[in-house]
Amino acid sequence: MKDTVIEEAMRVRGVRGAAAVGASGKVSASNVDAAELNEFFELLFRVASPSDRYSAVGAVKRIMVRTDEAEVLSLLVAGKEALGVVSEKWRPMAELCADLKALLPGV
Amino acid sequence: MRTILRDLGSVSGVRCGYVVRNGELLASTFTAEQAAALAACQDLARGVAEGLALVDRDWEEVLVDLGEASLMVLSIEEGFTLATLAAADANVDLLRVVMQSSVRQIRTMLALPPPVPTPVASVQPSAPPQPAAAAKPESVPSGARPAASPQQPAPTRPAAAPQQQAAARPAPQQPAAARPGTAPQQPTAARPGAAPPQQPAAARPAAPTQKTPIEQKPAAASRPASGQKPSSAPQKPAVAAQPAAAAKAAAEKPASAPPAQSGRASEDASPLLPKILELLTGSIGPVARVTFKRGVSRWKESHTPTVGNLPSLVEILAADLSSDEERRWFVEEVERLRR
Repeated sequence: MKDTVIEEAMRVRGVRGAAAVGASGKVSASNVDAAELNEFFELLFRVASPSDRYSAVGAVKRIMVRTDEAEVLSLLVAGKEALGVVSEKWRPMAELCADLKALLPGV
Repeated sequence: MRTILRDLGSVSGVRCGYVVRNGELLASTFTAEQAAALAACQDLARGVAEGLALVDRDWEEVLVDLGEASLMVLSIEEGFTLATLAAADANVDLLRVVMQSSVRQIRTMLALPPPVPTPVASVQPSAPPQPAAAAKPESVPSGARPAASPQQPAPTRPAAAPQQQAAARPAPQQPAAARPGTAPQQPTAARPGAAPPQQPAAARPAAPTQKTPIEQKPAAASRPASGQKPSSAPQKPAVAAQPAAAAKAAAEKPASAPPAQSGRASEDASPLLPKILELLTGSIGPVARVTFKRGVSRWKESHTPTVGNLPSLVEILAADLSSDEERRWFVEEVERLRR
């Protein structure tokens, strides 16, 4: 995943931070300061992988978590990589997702 | 619990659901053939919850897009979740509102302590907070309802400008909503904070001859673009200042309310039900049809559907309202219907 994706993600309204998770399952680039959030994205990536793990219900394309800290933590799976995003809670999930999807061809 | 899940299944697009507490499956509407799907959903939800625990985050909602379906999980309390598996094209906002209502029902049913409110827990404005009138003040409690509002046209929300409090019926030329409690001398005061697609009878001016001030405003200025219900919370001192216990007591009024006039107590309540639905719709929007139907079913299971037993129905339905103020308003309005 290109580092520019993170820059582009940061321009999406309501986005506070973004992190790219590589095929290795590790964050390859991030501007999320909180180390625990980068770890969380790595963990979410492991939860979402492999793509056929949840074949009974589909394949995980996206996970969005609304926390109690006025934030939404999202992971958008793009092939064998993923983009983790920390965003403001006020931004509707559907809108945010649509904006982020546009950054990730094939998602 | 299963009834709640069954009712959730009536929401368009919902396939099945389950409730898990501390790893134990309490109820499920997954069939035996869907056991693998249930296991996958539980596995997925557990994985996310465990990850959140590792980073020391409490959570309210998890939404997983599975391509052909979506899994929505709501936290009831720690280790206790309600989840639904819905079609990919299901109305997630509507589902969220209905599930939040179900969570409240479960909490009420199990007498769980109320969750600590978060400032904007269920609000999804489509624009960042702004100082302008259209913005939601940060101090507004989480009572605002997200999905009910977007489906309601802006002009039907006269209470968006809380300072415009006027008597509804006595002065139709000033039809802006009046708040019960702030204007106790107005027995037919309209509920603050929301006006339904069809105005509740109690709030409807006899012959509205002019638009409410809010109707005269551009829609964009009167409410956030997302349709989030503007709240009057910041300017409702009389009600907001009430201790929660007092408000709760008011909400519980039907249980101790005097019975309907002796001649009516044994009357069939059916003619009043549409009016009660109308009141509820005014409060929580179109989703009221779902919660009303569910509430009436529960009521009829345990009570004879008479006017005298309406307080029990009110108690069930009031649990779905998001604030003490709304609950009190609802209780009072139904009480008026009973008389």
